[in-house]
Amino acid sequence: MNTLRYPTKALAGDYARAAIGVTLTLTPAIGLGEWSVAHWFLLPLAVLFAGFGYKTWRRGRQTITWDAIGVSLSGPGAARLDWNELRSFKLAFFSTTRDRTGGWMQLKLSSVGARIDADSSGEGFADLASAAFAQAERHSVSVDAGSRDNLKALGINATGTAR
Amino acid sequence: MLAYFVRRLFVMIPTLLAISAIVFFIIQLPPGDYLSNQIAELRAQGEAASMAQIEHLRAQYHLDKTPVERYFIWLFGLLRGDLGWSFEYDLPVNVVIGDRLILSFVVGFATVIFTYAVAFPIGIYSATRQYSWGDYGLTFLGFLGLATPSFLLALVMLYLANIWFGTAIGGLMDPEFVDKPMSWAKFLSVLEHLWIPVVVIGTSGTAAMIRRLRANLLDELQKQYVVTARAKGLPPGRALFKYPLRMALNPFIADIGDLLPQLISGAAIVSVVMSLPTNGPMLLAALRSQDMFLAGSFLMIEAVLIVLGVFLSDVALAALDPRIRLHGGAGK
Repeated sequence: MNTLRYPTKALAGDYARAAIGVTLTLTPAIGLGEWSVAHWFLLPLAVLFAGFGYKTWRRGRQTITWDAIGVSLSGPGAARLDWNELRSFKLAFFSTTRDRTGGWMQLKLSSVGARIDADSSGEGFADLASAAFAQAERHSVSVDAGSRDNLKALGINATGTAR
Repeated sequence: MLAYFVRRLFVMIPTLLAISAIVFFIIQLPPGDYLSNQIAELRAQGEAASMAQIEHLRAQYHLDKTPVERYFIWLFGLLRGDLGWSFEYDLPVNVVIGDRLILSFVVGFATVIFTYAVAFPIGIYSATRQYSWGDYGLTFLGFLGLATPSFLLALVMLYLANIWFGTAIGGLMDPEFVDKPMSWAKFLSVLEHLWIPVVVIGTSGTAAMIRRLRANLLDELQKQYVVTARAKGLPPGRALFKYPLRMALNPFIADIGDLLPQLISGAAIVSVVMSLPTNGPMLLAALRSQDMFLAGSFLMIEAVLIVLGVFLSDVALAALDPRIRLHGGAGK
């Protein structure tokens, strides 16, 4: 049984972003007093940052385990996906810089009734991506060219034709 | 995607705050302010300015406060939608720029539509019929468009439009409609004048876009997946539009960041030459006369549009092409 967890240290940056974002948007919104045009974009932004904080908190409590039969997510949003039910494999890269020298990856696995997402900030992410890719290949699941490029960047041999 | 959205937004907020501070303090850098310039002018003309009146005006526009205090007053005003007071026009900035902002947007938007509508078919034609007579002819026209200065083209177009169509020289409408409320006749007059600045401003951008689209599309069309698709009998239209054209468009999506500010302030020199009532000439005048709230508002609107445009293009690119460009390791 292999495990992926999100250590608090890895999530500290996202917690800080959520907290600073809420502060930077809510403080002027409250300080302005009467309703003005700024409230129309400050308040939705505050909700968005708060939502991001909640999502980060959820992620911190999630654990993903996998074995030869399938992959399970325990904690908030628990889900179970057997490899033989795997329908979609996608490994995307989100860049924070224009030259794409910085960023993070996101693995999305889904079957008919379940979906499991994992971020590269979790310990064991490369092992999960590698195991999921092997199962995707075994069960003839389509893996696009972008996902294959990203697998190669993780050091995983993803040769083959993109389907 | 939410995490990406939030991280990009998170970069936007301090960026805009930093830009607002830089804009405000750069406008403050020249010695004196609008009122002290006016007092000096009055004195040079032999008119005495009342000290009490001057002090009253200074207090009214917060010019007696420190720059840092003035910055925060200005910033919170912006958040409330109060752009300040234009000294030059003696009116609220919202009122001064309102009509011009709309006209600038109309010119800018029409220019973008013209650029895309002309450049796309020509770029696709040039790429799919490389080294044909048509390609050579359009390439020549493209280079001509790139090499001709816009202000020169503006003068030529004004002359020709006047000689051939009897269109009044300069402006975005006939003189009798200036400062009049919008009407059907005024709208038609704007349309009659609009095509000249649109062609003048859009020509160089169109030519550049044709060259880039041609080059990008040629790159894509020579890739193996296109050869395979053709070999398998995919119809030429699908083999062109389904993937190669989409991939060739990535640089244009990345350009949205530059496009948005151009909608309201592009082509200041052409606007001066053609006497267009757009924002460019007003921004230049505001900077020269140290009309700080007017200039600052223009610059902040531009900065917001740039940051918003870059944000939109980044999100669109991430959605269209979420591929890593790094090799040998993934950044977390």
